[in-house]
Amino acid sequence: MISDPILGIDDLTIAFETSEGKYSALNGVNLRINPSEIVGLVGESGCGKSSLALAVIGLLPVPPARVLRGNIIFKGNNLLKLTETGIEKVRGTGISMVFQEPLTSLNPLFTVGEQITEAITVRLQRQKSAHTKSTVEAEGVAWLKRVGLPDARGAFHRYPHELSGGMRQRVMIAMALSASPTLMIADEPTSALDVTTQAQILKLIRKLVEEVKASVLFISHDLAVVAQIADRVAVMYTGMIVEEGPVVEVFEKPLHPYTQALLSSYPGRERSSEPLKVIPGQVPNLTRIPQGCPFHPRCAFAEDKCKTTRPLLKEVRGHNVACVLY
Amino acid sequence: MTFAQDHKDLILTLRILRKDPLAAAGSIIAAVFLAVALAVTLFGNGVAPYDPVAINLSLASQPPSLQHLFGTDNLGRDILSRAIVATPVDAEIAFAIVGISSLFGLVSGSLSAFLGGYVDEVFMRITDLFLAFPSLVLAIAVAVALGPGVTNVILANLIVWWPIYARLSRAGCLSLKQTQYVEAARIAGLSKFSILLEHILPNNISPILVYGTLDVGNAILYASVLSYLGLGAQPPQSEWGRMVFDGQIYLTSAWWISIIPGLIILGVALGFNLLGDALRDVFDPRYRK
Amino acid sequence: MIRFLGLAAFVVKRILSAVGVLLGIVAILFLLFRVVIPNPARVWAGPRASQQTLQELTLRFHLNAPLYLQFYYYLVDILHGDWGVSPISGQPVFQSIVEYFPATAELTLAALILTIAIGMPLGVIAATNRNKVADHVARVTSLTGVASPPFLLALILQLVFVFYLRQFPDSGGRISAFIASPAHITGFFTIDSLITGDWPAFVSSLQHLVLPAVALAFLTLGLMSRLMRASLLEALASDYVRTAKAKGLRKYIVIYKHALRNALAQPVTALAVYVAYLLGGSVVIENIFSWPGIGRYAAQAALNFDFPAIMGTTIVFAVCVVAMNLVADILLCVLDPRIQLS
Repeated sequence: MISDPILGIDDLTIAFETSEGKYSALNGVNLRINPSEIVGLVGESGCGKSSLALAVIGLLPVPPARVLRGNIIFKGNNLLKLTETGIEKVRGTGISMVFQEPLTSLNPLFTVGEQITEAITVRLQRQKSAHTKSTVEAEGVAWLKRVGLPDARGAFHRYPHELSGGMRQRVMIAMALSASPTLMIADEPTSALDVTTQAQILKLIRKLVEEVKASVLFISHDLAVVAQIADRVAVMYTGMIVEEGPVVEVFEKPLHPYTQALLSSYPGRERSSEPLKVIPGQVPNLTRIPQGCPFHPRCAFAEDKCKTTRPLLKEVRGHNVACVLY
Repeated sequence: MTFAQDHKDLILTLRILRKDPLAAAGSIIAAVFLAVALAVTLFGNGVAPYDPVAINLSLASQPPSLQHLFGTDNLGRDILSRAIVATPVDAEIAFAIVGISSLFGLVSGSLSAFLGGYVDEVFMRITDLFLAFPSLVLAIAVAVALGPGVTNVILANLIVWWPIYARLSRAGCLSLKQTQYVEAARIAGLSKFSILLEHILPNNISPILVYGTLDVGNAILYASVLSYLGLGAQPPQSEWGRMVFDGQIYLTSAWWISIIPGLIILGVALGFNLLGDALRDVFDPRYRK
Repeated sequence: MIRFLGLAAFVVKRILSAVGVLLGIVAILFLLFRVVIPNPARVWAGPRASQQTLQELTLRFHLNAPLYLQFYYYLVDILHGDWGVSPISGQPVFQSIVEYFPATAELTLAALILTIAIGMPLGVIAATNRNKVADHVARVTSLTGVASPPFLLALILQLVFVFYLRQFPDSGGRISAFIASPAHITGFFTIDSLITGDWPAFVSSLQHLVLPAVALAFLTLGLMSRLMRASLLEALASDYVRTAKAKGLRKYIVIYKHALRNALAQPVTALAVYVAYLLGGSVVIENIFSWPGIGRYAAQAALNFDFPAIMGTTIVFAVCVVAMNLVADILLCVLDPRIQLS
């Protein structure tokens, strides 16, 4: 039985008012996430991935940011229509988040244990389950063990700065998953880590997420990382999804020129004597997005039509692509 | 286009001054203060509506009125006139203090940071020691030791003021030392001294300028306390702090004699504070985009 | 437990460092007042001293001896409590200072309490109500506090509350002349009278304490409010606050548990500096309210060019500031586990 997606983002358009004009962070984003699914979101820096993540969990600073159009439907509710208290209730147990920099993302003045028990307590309070300090603590230690911290009990009483980067990120994951979220958003969770730790963390996320039956929105600029962990992938450019589909399909048979260019410029695919391919031009300033298809100034296949029509996502051979070629 | 680029700071300052009423008020107050000080210095006591020195007991202790906007004191002297004539004294003291100590601090702090090592350590310790004193009390002590008079007030305050600028300048210099263009200059073979002079010092000036503007207000406050305690300019030269002290005994019968000079001090200090705040916003990296 | 031992070692190290600072301070005072200024003997003797007094002082201070010897005698004198004799009062400076110390301590403590109890909440309210009315009110208050000369508010308070409204006693001093001062336990009239259950003394001493404390605290209150606001805003913009929100914690927990705790570091450190400002302000405030403390002693000294007295005041105030810095250092260490205690 095909169940409804847990997260449906429709035509989400968000802009920031800055002193230099309107900064269009998101331009009509369309995305679906199904239950127990890991969806990767890739794109270059500045394409809006983090803005999307923050928008979903409701942490975009709303005075400078403004929602111009669109919906974010989570388990049937439109998150954009919720009050601050309403969205507070969704965070943690509904949608949780793991951030990129675990050192600054953990409160330096509280122990790891204090911070993870906060997350657990929120869940228990919302479920209206009875709990005592020792049961919560025991669960906290259990979670730390589960994410692979060698001395879980010891780590529980330590402060963030006393742990290594990899251990801190495990703590963040434990905090995010211990709340039993339906959706966990991971914003570049491995970018600050070295390659070996990266691999371990990815394996950990895959395993735990299956156990807990959560979905993940995994954001990264690193295609290789996304290839290892995601079921489906969405490619983002200047605030919109240009291609989206099962990860193997998209990476082996990319349809959108941007995806193709992205993959071909990725080191490893060329023979050692060939120069690295670059995508000509620059990512446009988000205050001045080109008319029509935003990629057209840099696109090898651009036609005249591309300057005026903005292509919408269309299903083609198993993925969704937004390109006039199809 | 080039004028705008070169004078980015000036234009940004003017924009802030136009938009923020408090900043505008501050700059107006500062401007008036300077204008009056200048006027009295150039044209003498005649600038004031009445003779600030003339004693006229029949007019003693008059409350503020249309003829005497700030009233008269116990000797019948017009308070507004006395206040006007006192302006250049505090202006001189405040600008001398801030100017000289900031200059000295800029040079010594930059030098210390630049030379680094042992010299820097010792220098830091020395500034720490000076900063361990409650500054007002030390300034009073030195002023008492030196005796009354404007020059002594300035000297006494210089001793207390310089370490802050030294620290500020040293911190700025240290962070600049790490920047890439200083690295580049060093690689290019420029002598240490010319690097200091041409690259580091000029960039260190803006935080000092901002702090200095705010500080003029502080300097006026210190000068007023010292003059309140009899350590500043001596009679018959009027000075705001001294006017407050002299008028204290008449607080309950003629409050304007002491309160009004006090309010003037507040006003001027406030003006420089607001101006300094606005300048700080100009140079705050977050505004500069 | 290990951290406690580390803390103890840290305290000892800091105390030693503070002693070093005190030594340095004495050295600077020596250089300033014996070497740099001309005619130290005249300065110490006062403006009306006779030639004989000058000669006596020159001998006593060994002003003709080599510099290092002078410094030695200077140090010995200070450590022995021989801080000279005030040419105005004829009393040894050290004795006077000891006598007046509790009064200033009480006033300064009261002002510090006001600074924390009013300044901090004001800053928190300003930060959590950014750009709304409360923020503007707090901003105006702190701007005025920072730009006011110390005597202004003191005089206005006296005028309004003592004279016009008659809410507060107009006799100066710490307690009504008609009430006996409480038994001397700490030297703090308010505390002593509470301890001994001397209700009339408590009420009277509190009444006398309020106005000067408010006048004294006006500056530091303004500074504290601004600092607290800035510090809290900074904390609220941090990554860990973002994480706390992402966990679904309620807004007030995010603000008061996560952000505020981190925002306290700067204000606590600043307290030491504020004490220095309070001590400086006490010179003027105590004089206006006839509060019999070191500040008034210093003000009278300044008015009469009584150098030994002002010198003694400088030393004792500097010691207080160094002590406060030490306390703030230790407090910060307790608050922040990141600080290495090795």
